[in-house]
Amino acid sequence: MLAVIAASSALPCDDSLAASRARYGGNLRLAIAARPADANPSLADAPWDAALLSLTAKPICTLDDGRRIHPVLASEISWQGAIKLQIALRPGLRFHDDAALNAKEILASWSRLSQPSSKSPYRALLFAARPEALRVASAGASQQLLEVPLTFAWPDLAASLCHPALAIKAAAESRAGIGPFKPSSNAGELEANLGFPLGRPFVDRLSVAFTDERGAARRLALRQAQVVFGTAGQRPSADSPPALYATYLAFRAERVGADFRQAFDASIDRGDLTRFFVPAPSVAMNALLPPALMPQPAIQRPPVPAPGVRRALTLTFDQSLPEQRLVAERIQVKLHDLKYAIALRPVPRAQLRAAWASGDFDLMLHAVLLPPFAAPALAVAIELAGARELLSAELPAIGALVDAGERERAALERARALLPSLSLIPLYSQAIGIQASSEVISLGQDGYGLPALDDAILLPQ
Amino acid sequence: MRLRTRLALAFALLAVVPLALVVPRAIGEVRGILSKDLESRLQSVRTVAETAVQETGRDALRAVEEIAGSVALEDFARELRAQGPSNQRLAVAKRLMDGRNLSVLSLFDAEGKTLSSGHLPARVGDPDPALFAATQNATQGALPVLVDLRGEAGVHRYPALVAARSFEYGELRIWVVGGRVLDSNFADQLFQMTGARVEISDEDGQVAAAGEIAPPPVETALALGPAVRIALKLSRAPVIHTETVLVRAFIALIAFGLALAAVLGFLFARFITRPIDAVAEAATKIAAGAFDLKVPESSSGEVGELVRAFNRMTAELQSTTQQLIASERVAAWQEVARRLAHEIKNPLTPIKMSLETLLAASERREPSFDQLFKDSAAAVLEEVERLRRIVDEFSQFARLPKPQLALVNLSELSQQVLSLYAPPREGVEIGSQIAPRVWVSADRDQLTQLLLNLIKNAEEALEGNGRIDVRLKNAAGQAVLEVADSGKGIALEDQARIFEPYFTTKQGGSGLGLAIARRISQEHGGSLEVASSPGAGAVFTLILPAAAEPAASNHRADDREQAMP
Repeated sequence: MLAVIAASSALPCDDSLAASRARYGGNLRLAIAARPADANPSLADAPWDAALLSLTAKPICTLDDGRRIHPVLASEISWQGAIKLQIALRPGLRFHDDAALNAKEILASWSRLSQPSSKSPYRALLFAARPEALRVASAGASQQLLEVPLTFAWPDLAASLCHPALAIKAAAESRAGIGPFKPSSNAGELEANLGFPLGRPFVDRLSVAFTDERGAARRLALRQAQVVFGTAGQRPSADSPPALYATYLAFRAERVGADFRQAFDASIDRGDLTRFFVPAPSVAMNALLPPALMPQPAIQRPPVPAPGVRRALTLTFDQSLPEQRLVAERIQVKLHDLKYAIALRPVPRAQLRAAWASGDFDLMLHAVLLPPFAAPALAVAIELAGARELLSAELPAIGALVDAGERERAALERARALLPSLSLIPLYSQAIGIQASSEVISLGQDGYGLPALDDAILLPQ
Repeated sequence: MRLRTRLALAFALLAVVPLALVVPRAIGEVRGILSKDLESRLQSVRTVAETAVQETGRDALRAVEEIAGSVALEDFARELRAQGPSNQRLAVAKRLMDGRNLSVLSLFDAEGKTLSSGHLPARVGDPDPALFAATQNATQGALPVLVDLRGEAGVHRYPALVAARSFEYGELRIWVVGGRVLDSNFADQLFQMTGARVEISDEDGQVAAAGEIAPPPVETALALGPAVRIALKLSRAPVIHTETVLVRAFIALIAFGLALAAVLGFLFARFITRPIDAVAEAATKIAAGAFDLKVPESSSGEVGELVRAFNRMTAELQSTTQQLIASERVAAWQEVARRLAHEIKNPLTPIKMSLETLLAASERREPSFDQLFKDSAAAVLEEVERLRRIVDEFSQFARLPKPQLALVNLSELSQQVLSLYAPPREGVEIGSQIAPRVWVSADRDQLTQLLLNLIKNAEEALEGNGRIDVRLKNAAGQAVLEVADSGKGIALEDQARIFEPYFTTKQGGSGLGLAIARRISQEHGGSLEVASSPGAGAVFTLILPAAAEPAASNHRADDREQAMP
């Protein structure tokens, strides 16, 4: 079970209650300040999308807030040498639609993401793996073994497999997963999955409502909701969950001109951008990886480049993320003064991902959930920059370092060195904003900052 | 040009000239009135637009003052002072704009940094000097400024009317600057109010427009400060259309007036000139010999007097002419009688002398009386014969029968007559140029006599060697026959008398051949003329009306022109 972390000041923690025996039951009312998103794990780029997805579909493992690996669907994850990972699945796993989960389903899920045709930057998580060599080593009735051979040593692969984008979904049309909750027959409700390998959640069911930020706050105030995702009144602090949802401005260098990065840095202050236009908890990114992974250098504002000919560009962004519209407008207005005529193009997330994969964009706001480890996070960032050829040059050297600390330092060093050459401008990173009423206790978060509602206990009123 | 035509044209001119003088002036007057009306409308449009702009400015000022005094702004100031700038208050300005008909609203701190912006949220944290400049003249009403607005295609600068008011919360001072963008919505509103095309422009050109008008336009403009201009355009097309219709109507009027004047002038001229025409026609007929003609005296005035004078003149002319004809007839018969008497007297003298010789011989008992009697009797008989011949010819001339007209092929007849002279007597050469198929309506026998007389006359005129040419042709519906000789010609004083009966210049001539020939020609509706120069021969020209060739005529002999050497 995940470690239960102390909630923020909005999550009151009563030591006497926490120490008491856990109470099962109850209907937890959840309000999400966003619109329903795609159930595709590889498109769960917003914190609340991933949080909602993690209720019904888990990867083979999760990370706790100390970045420790906790097998979920697996009973054991072990290295067989430097370039082979072996995963022992728990016996008797079943999807929510009662279909049996076997090792082939897991291989199929990973293969879909690692294929060259995959339109996801998360495929960099599996870059070290050899997709063609993934195999089921043993498929006995009691236990199934998966072998994941690697092309080079990549010790962070085990942690990467815990990424929510690698949540296991059935290949069948139902696209069912395995999570602490499962869809109920009542619309807008999730009920506790009594067969969840880590044990059933405390509450019996979740009632989920989608609204906007003001609506969610109102529901919380009126006790119409007990937990709210997407609102937070506090700024990140040392106790806050890691802000790993990084948003970048990807650009096509041949379209935007050589001095675009200089123009951007000269005209846009990321601190102001984040403070004024991105909901908390959020933090500006001055480096390729977010502050949760690497210290942020102070940016020396370059001089404003001499205005050249007027350049017409299109900025594509995710229409389901309101803050991306605000940020896009800010970029549009600030660069307008430097003779960039930027048209805004809001698109659905799947279309945005397709445009990114085909390179059909001038500028693009793109959010990704980075792993809480520098090396795989660097891989995702490089993939996002469209510089996949760099992965084979950069990752083996990092993966060859046995010591985790050295790998972190090497990855951060390469992140600092690569940033100027990547067609990517880091903007800000976010964590999920969570507010809960006093009747909810023991609401924790995992290593990705996702709330663990299966740990939440609903006090009787 | 006939008098009638001249009068008709004069009437038409009389009708056109006044129209030509009046119509352009009338068109000019109407055009002036229409132009003044258009200018008046343009001025009215301008006034309406100015009022609308002022009203928009007042609305903006009221809304800004209301916001500056609102509790919401006080709450905003309190939170700002407590928490500093953040995205928590990003939408404040937008909410304040709602329901106040504002399209521009920014909240500034005292330094001009944007705290919240309803029209351009992305400006938060930045100064907006163009908009903040309105705070420098906050005591005035709404001011024209240029504001940045964003759309999906980019950021654009629009003119706006904004007002500014400050709000103080403790030491915190907040400027509220709001107003209305002069965009296509405002342009459309003005268009709805004025009906004029509205074009709003700034230094970079046109930023908004509304309304469509047909070209060409007339324009007036409102200048809102140095940078903003509102052009109001009305179409001149209705004025031009009215002018065109008017000009067309006047042209139609002129054309109708011209036609009417011409018709009426023609009819009036015809009414006036009818008696004159009758007089002219009568004069023509009188000249042709119809002396008994009278012109109806239906007119009055000068024309009637003219007709009556003309009738009196014709009556006198008729009387004088009849008297003259009678005198001439008497004179002619006297001349004929004189010449006939002369002709008769000529044989009487030898007869008398022969008889007197016989009587004397008988008294003297001449032995040669018998021979003498025989000779005298012969001489008397000869003269008597001569008298008889004179009487016969006179009888023939006097009793020329009425011609029995029938279609005669003059070409064929001419050939036949010429054949009688083949071969001609020694020393005479006869040539001919006879056109085929020349038909006339004539009495064949009389025409034959006419031709024989002309050729015989020519032969006699030669007095020895010479040449006779006979030419026949069809000219302008007339048959023209020429008989030319190379004789000594006819003296000019004789040419006038050569067709008179018993006038001859030849020894032994009766003097009736050419007279009969002319009379035959006249009886056939033709003419016979002579042209001659002394020593150069003479040419007698017979002209008869040509007749149509009968359909079944035999062309064998006329297929080609006959020529004799």
